[in-house]
Amino acid sequence: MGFLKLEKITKRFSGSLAVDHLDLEVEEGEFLVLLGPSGCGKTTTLRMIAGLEVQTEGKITLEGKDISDSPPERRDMAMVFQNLALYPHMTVFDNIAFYLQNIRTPKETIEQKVRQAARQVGIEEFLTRYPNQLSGGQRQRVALARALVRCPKVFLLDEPLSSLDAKLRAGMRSELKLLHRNLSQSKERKGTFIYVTHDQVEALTLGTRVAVMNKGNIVQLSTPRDLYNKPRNLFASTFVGSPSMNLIEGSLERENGSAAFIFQGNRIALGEIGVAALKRANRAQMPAILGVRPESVKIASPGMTGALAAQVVTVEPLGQNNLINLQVGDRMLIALVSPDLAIHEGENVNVCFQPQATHLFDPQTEENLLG
Amino acid sequence: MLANTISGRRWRKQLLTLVATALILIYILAPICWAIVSSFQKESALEDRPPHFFPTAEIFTLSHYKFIFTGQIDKEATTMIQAQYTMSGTYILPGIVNSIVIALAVTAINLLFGLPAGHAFARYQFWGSSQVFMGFLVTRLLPAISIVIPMYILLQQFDLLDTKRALVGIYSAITLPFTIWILKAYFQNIPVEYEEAARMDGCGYLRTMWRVVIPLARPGIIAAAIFAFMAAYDEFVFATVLTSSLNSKTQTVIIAGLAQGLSASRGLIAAAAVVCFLPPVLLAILFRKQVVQGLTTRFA
Ligand SMILES: Nc1ncnc2c1ncn2[C@@H]1O[C@H](COP(=O)(O)OP(=O)(O)OP(=O)(O)O)[C@@H](O)[C@H]1O
Ligand SMILES: [Mg+2]
Repeated sequence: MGFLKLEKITKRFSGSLAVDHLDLEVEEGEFLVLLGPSGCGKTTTLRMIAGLEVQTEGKITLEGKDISDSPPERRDMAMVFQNLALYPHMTVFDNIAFYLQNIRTPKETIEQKVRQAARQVGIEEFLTRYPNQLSGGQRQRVALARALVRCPKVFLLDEPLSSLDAKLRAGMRSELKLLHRNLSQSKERKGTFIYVTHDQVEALTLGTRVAVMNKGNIVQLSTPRDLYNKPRNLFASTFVGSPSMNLIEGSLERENGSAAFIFQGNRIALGEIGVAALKRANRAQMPAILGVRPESVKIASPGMTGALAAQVVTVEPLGQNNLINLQVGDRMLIALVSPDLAIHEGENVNVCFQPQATHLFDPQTEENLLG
Repeated sequence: MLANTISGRRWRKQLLTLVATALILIYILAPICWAIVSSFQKESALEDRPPHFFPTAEIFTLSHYKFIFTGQIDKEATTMIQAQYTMSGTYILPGIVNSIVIALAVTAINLLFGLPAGHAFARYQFWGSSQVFMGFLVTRLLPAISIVIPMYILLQQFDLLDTKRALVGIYSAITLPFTIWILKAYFQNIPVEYEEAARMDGCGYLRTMWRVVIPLARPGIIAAAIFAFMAAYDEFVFATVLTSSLNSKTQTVIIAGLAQGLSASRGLIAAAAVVCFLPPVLLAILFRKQVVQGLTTRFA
């Protein structure tokens, strides 16, 4: 039984459908990331879990109890808002202490807990200041401390790092990860996190599981590793990974015991994978989309069999890698290769990819042909 | 060259603003200044043409104020003036007290109902909410004179004529729409996340209002309270019809009473006016910052 369970949750805003029959189970101690493009319903989902928004249909249970109709103050969840929402009329201390004051905690306990939470995020020296006397990063920490001072059943975070600059964000990301690790090992109550972001790096680095959302529903829920290596459908495959996965339309055909992907007169041998996909679809030939990540596109030695002839259009040095735009027939492919490789714009090269590194999708259903 | 024209334009704009402000100030302050100047002049001096703009030692007197505060009539003043000091000159202070009591009660009622109502209109969209809100505002358009007679009959039947309670009730009804309107506008400027954060932090409705909404809306609330207070303090039409004794007569009615007849003392009327407008002026000076903030603040 899931710790937190959403069953067929739907939210309609005056006609427009924000969340559409969404099912989700979150385990205790998990760091679940809701990842998706703008407007896909991440915030709405989070707010329904918090109780700030009432679902149009569906049921939410927490520890087996139906909380669908409980007001937010009774759900025992802490939330970090995208704009932080630090109370401007209270000092940092009071901001952090607010929850404890509300549940009438003894003064000494409050003092001690607030200091502990402040120490955890490194803002002890700012306790007497007001939020408008802090930098963006410090405010961010106050918002976190405000959640950490409690031992809530669930931590809800809505793009908490989006207002920070890139460097601070990377730092806070590691700190969050550490925080979660410590909390998930706590004996009393394990820290369960639900984290909304549209940043795939945050999602992949922080999440123990990632739910990719699109148009009000979850299209894939898996570990970050599986999400990257086994995208279940076209949307997940292109939304995760940067630069995004190359997609080529063509057809999958069986040929004497093996299988190959054919497009524009080119032929890519797929071996086992192709056979398995055809077998699963129970067909000998079918239209398909071949996906391959840029880092799996290899520049082959000239004259290698089974390689595709390509022309280098541009070379963009990214420091660690070079990003190469290649033209194959009338298709563009992106490859990420080592900068040591001497490749020049306008050059003709051969490219190839390992069959294991390819993904096959059904153009109609957009699902992965291998499930 | 360019810099010149720009600063020239700015300068002209400032000058225009200055002139406009000065004109408005003169328009508002001139009668008040005239009342103050007149209140310190002997009645005979007020008859002089051209009038005295600055009281000299010869024409200066405190007798009007003395009469208002003590009820004693200066020998000098009585011999000098033919005009009458009517007894109602000594009713000014009780009238002000009545006005303040009524205005405070009206203010309290405005906040008690205006805060939740303004908050509800700002935050919740319920069936017909905008229609109900418009309905509230439209009641402001009813001229007082058109309901004062029916109101008189109503109060007579409930035996509430000449009571402060009746005025408090009527003034509250008149001022509430405006209060709700200001508060709604002010609440709408406060990001809703503060309230949501408070809910997440374990506050129910009342505690959220008390600990978060009210502190954040303080300037708006003070502005609304002062407007309600002033409106109640200044009201005349209902007061003059519905009151008949010092039990409930307000300062506006008493001043109006002084100004009747050809023999009314103009110095006394002026002094009474000055005394009556002191409380609201004090209030405005004390809270001027909040009033300005309340009407102009925009949250980030
Ligand atoms: N209060 C509202 N009234 C009407 N429509 C809303 C409301 N809130 C959200 N929506 C709509 O619901 C859909 C989902 O919104 P939501 O805020 O959940 O997206 P999101 O995934 O959080 O996007 P972002 O990454 O931009 O924050 C959007 O199409 C949005 O326009
Ligand atoms: Mg959002």
